[in-house]
Amino acid sequence: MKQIDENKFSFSARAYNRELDLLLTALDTTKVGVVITDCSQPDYPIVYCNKAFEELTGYSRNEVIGHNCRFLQGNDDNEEQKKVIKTALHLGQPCEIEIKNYKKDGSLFWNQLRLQPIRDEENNVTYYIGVQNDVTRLKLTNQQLRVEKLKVKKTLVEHDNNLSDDEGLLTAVIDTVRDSVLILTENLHIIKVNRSFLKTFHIAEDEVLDQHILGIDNGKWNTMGLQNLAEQLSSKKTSIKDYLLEDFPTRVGKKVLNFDAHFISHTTNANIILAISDITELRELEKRKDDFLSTASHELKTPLTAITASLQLTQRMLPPDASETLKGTLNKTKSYVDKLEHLVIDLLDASKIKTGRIELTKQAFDFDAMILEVVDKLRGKYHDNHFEVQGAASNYYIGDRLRLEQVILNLLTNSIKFSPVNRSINIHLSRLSDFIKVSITDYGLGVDHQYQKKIFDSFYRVDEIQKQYPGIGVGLYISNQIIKKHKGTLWVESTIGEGATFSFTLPLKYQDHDKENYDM
Amino acid sequence: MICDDDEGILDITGLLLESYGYQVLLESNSARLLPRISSEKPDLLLIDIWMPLLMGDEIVRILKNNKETAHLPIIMFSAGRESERIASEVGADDYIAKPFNIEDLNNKIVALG
Repeated sequence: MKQIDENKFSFSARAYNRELDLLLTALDTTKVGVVITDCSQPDYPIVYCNKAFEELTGYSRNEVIGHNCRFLQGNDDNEEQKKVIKTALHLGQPCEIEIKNYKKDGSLFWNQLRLQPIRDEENNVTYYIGVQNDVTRLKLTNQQLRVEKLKVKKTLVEHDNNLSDDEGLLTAVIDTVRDSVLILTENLHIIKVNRSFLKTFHIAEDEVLDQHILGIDNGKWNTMGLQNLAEQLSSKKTSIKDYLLEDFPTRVGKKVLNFDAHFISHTTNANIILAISDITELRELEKRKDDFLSTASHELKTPLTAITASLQLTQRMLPPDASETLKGTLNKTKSYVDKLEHLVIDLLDASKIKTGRIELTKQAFDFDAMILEVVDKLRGKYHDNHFEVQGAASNYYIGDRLRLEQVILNLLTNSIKFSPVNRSINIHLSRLSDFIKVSITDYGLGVDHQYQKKIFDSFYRVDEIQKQYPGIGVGLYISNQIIKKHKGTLWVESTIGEGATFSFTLPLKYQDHDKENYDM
Repeated sequence: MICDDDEGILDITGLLLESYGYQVLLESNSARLLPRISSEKPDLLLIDIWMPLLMGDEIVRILKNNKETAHLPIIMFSAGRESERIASEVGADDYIAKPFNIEDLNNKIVALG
């Protein structure tokens, strides 16, 4: 193989290089997790991860790029191992450790981690390659294995004895769940239904047992939608989630039904468990909520319009010799009305997002210029703060400019609000692989570790802060949802009392393969 | 000409635009708007969307589909959701959300004039 020089090994402009593609494909086919971190950027963000890393940790590439690897460590101290890593990184040396890490679903795994520095011609460390192996299994001792074996044996014996009890238990379980449940043969004939099914659809048990699913209610269930589901179940023989049928004809009127089908394979045959949720009322409620939002938006904004228009009129009609007190009072009133307007907009936005009705209006724009514009606006308003913008992300991005401005404005005003003493705020822009990253660092109160995830929930406010600082706790929720809608991630890293860094990444290329986003 | 069923907003917006030197005609009853437009021939129409009797979007559709009034520049303004989409669907020349900034509104009027 030809030697690959440093220039070719870049993650942005030369992504189409054939040799690089070949290497990346090779990396994606290996079973060990591989990440690459960029040592020229602050906090050594990940710029590459292979498929095995995604499978190993449960995190997708979008959730990983731009982050420091430490998110895998959860809340564990891992002091000894951290020290080894820190020393190796400091000296630019390789290292190998076994460290407790956590997958996205919270489950623990033992990671045999090897770190290898990559150096440029001047011997500076430019990247670190991290190779991860899940060695959790090896950690189990023989004795543990023996104990497990014995336990399994014992359970199996009990299981044999209790088979008939289990059937009773199964019936009790499926009768307890609120959804309608049908157990089908692989040919889609019904062998068991629960009480909820009989009650929801006003059908007697003997009418449906041994029937084909399309034969229910004398063939009334034989609709195009259900035929399609039956076809998918028969041909693909895989589980199906969230299959929605609207206007479904039943004995108790048309319903909106959500179907989940789960395949269970036995040695010789298979069964399908079909769960049907009747979401007719939920739909009706959603519609009512939506109608309420429209009315609330209109009703709240109409008096606000009259007030802002009156204020603007009064300001325009003010004689030039009006007293400073009067002018000041009008300005203050205007700023409070502006605040009220933003609160109303935030509340309506939060409700819109909750009902999944936030829409993105996408356009191409200069991302870096947008950031500078927002910062300039704030510089004009907050003279006591010092804003510093470093680095560059991209001068071309396709997304909802106004919504992203809203995110930047929200993060910056939070930093301003919670930094009453040291008023410096750093904004760092970078481009990592095909992602852009924005980090906003303040030196204010900081966010305690236990609240770092919760602050992105709607209406969540940290207790002690609530008393001292105004706000209703929707800003970060809205920002997080906007970033998620752009397929990016938003997170915070902070030490209490030392400040906080809010960062987000946005993929540059998601619009190329994500049809859903074209339609929004 | 301004048309809004909320008389408070109608009056204040009228006064604000007069302070910019415009001659302003006001109408709070959307059902009376079309005859007034054909008799008084305004240079521009600023119209709300959600109004009883006759909705703003319906009026704009009628005006834009009529040869005699199709050229009349129309700005829609509203506090409702999805109003911007409605305004562009019915062919309004521009849109401004309520509450509005008078300078932004004036810039839009100047751009259409």
